Amino acid sequence: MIPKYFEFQSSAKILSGRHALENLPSELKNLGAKKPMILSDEILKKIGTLQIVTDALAAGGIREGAVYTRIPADSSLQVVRNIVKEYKKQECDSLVAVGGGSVIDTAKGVRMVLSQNVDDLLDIWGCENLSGVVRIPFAAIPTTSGTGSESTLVAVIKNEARRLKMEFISYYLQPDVAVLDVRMTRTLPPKTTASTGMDALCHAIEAYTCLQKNPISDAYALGAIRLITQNLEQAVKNGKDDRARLAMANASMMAGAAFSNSMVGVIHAIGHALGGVCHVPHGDAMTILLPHGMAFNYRVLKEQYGELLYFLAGEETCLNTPAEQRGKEAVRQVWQLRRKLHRICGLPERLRECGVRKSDFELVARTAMNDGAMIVNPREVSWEDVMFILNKAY
Amino acid sequence: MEFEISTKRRMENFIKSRISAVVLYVLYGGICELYQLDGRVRDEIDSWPEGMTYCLACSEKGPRLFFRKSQNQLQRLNPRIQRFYDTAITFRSLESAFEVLTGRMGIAQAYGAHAFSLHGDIGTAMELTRCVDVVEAYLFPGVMTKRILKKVPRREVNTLRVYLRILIGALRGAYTMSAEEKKPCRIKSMHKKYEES
Repeated sequence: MIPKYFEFQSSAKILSGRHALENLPSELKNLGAKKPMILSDEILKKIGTLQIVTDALAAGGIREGAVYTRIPADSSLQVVRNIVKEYKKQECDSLVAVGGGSVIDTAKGVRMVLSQNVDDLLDIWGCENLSGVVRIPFAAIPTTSGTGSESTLVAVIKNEARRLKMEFISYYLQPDVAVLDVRMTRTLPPKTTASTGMDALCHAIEAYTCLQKNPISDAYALGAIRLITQNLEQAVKNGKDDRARLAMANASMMAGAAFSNSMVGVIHAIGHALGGVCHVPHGDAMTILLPHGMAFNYRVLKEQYGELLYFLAGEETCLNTPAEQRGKEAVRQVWQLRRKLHRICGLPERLRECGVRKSDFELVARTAMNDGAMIVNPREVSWEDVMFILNKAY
Repeated sequence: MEFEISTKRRMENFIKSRISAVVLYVLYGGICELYQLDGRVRDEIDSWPEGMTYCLACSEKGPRLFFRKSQNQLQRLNPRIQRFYDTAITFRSLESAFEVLTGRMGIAQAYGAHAFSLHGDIGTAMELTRCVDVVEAYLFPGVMTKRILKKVPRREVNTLRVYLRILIGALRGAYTMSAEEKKPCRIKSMHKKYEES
């Protein structure tokens, strides 16, 4: 069904596959970038992933303006301020982010401050409220296959003083270039591969079912689901399987583009709250909550879940399942996938395995109710509903 | 060179703008009265910090509603004087604002259609949205709310009583705008933040 009105934008140019990194210098030159600032974290520097990128840039004749690797697991306002200062001091003209969601979100924060001509992110906190003032070329190189941050219009930055995660949503946050190169994800441990893959699956399923969905985001979401169900298990079992790794990198990017334009719902709202209150890693929270969230929304999404069965389980299962049972079967397939990954790499299945205490539930539920994702969830969610889902997932 | 607006469109805009201004006034009245009458609105507003200031704007040049929580009650502010707010919801066009304010589109649908932009904390916008959903359940007929709300909130009091209280409130000047500019809560919090750091 086509909505009365919708908008879609996925503006990042995708460089995917063999020697993708080696093509980054020419892309940066096309964007007018001469002296990029490289953002990454200490672990990627230590294991040599960052060196692969800087080698590719140097070989392509790009002079590196500065390298900043002191980005923590949760990007924060202070880190953004420090990087902006360094960027100006070194007279850089563009940004290259190498890392997971936190590094890429930090780069988005830096780009926002620089491009909007403001001193502080607090001045531009909001949703679809930015305008293009100064253009800062920005390339994202994801090192996980899950957040989809390389193609999303969302950035989450922690405000330490007010102890909250600030959410920014704007089309101006999408990078100009996203590089999907398997050399970046080869070293990812099986458990992280599995949990980030489940995060991408959650993005795609919620993107296909939330109120802001549209035919283009649907196409991206369905493509992502097919790639994930066909490749996630293999990528977890054999991290050196380049084909599976590249498929997962593309699936993550596609799911990111899908949910950027249709948004995510109750599963992410509770997941964000669990991250903020109990420090549950986002991928683990998504893994645990996905089937419970689907069961909660089943009442209003039976048909849409039924449409997903073909992409989750393949043609044969779909054809052998009576039409009215397909929705239920789709939810069952997600439970099965999670069980399988739990057996392979010990992916958590319950909140108690992640150190969550029942006494935290009330605060988690209150925080989740104020998450922006709640508004686009197809079923109305009350505080009691969140408590119900949390208890089920415990 | 600027585009010339046609007379027909100018008239349309004028009418929509006036109707939107009236609905914003009634909506504010509804929030104020239901703060006294409905437990859900009361709980929601009680959880706002002192000085919390909202702005609802029907497009950049359209009518605006500014209000602030002050000493456990709400206070309407003058949009011509008031510059600062904590959270502002600005409709991208008068048309979208008109659809929402006349009950033809819900807030969730408007969000889905990118009908407004938000300045400030999304969490605080969610708090206001929940209040507006309850107020809409009283102010609009059931046939409308069933279409625009995911779940129609149960009415705790009679709709007529709410309308009557809004009318009385309007007559006794309970919704008169403050004559001076007020500080929003965020500026205070930011000062606190700098003191902390």
